[in-house]
Amino acid sequence: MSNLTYQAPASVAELAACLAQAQPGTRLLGGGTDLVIQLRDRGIQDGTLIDLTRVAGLDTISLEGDRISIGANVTYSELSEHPLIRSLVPCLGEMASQVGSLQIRNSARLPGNIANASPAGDSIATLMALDASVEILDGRGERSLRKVAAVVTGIGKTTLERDEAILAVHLPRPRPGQRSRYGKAGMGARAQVVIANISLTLVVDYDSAQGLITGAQAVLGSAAPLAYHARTAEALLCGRRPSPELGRELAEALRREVEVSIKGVEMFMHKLNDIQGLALDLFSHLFRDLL
Amino acid sequence: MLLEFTVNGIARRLDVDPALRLIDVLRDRLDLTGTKEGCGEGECGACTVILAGKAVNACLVLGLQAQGQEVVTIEGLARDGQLDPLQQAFIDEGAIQCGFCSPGMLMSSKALLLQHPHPSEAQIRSAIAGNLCRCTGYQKIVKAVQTVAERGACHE
Repeated sequence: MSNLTYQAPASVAELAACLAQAQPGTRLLGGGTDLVIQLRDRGIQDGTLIDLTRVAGLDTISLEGDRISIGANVTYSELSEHPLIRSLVPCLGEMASQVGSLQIRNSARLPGNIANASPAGDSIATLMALDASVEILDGRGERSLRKVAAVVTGIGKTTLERDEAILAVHLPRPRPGQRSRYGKAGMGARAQVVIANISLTLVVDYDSAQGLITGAQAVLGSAAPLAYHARTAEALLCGRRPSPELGRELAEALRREVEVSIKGVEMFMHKLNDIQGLALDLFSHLFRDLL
Repeated sequence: MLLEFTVNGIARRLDVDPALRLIDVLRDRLDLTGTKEGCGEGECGACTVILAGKAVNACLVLGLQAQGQEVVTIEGLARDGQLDPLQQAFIDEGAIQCGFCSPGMLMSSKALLLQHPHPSEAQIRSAIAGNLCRCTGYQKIVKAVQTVAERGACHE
């Protein structure tokens, strides 16, 4: 018999009360696809588990004013199938549909992926490209917003405090003309956290009147310990007209970015090829109607 | 801690250690050993059960997370001594070799058919992508699911 204590708050107020009592050894439980493995691997027999999955009101996706809100209990399956996500932020739906297996997607949720801060965390790069923030509840019952990029600070490291829980992920409402795509090279449909060897999220603003790209986000995942913006690639796209040649220039710029981030490590050299293929693929899909 | 949930249509009430996973509760507390444990980390899908209508890995869910929910395991497919048409199709198509992956394959396929009674081959392959068959009998498994979908007969 373990000494674990299990709490299942039913409301945000009850969750805050649980968080107020958080001690070292208090852990937040979502879909369980990471934490249940960790409990066993590390032989954890003590402490408190706060199960977030029973908190009411955190299971919806909504468009409110200038932002899209995704509740903490929305699973990857629900995210990948949601019409609002598929139409307005296709890169997020594509990312969600490629996480793990269906069984994993039916359980796992975004907050756990962010809080675990795995270098292979599929969602983090995509959320950064979308300028996403998380809504955090603390033990005093107060809510605050923090950019995803300011939450994840290293491998397994975040700025989340012991008494803080993620209630929702918020995205700015996509601008008219915004297009986005996500792709990864690496293990296919099955894997515990899907170890992407490398992922790319492209979000661009396309002005159809001028025929020009007016803004670009290109975020690389699993190319370095932290996901990062490929600034040279983003600069390259701005002010340009989509063309097959531009796609090739993008692939080359991203290859150079990855060359720097892998620091000559031989076992990562394959990423140089992978990123070029990914870039060409995503770019051609992004502008399929124009190329 | 008290766990109250429904397994294969039967209300269950038992005191469980919070550290127990759903697979531990099913196998060790309820003697429902049809659900297999392969990898214990969500790679192989042998432990797949249907929880609240969705296929999940019973090795990645804590038992207490099934509180108040409905769970269907491989033992819950047959009705009144009659195999589920899906099970019969697996037999008819030779979709079972060593049998270790079969409970998981069946539960993933069952969850798919409950949602999509006439799935495409791509949908079938996607639904069982998280189930490994070490005998590599995938073609026959896909065929069996197609067969039952064509027959249009699957227990609700």
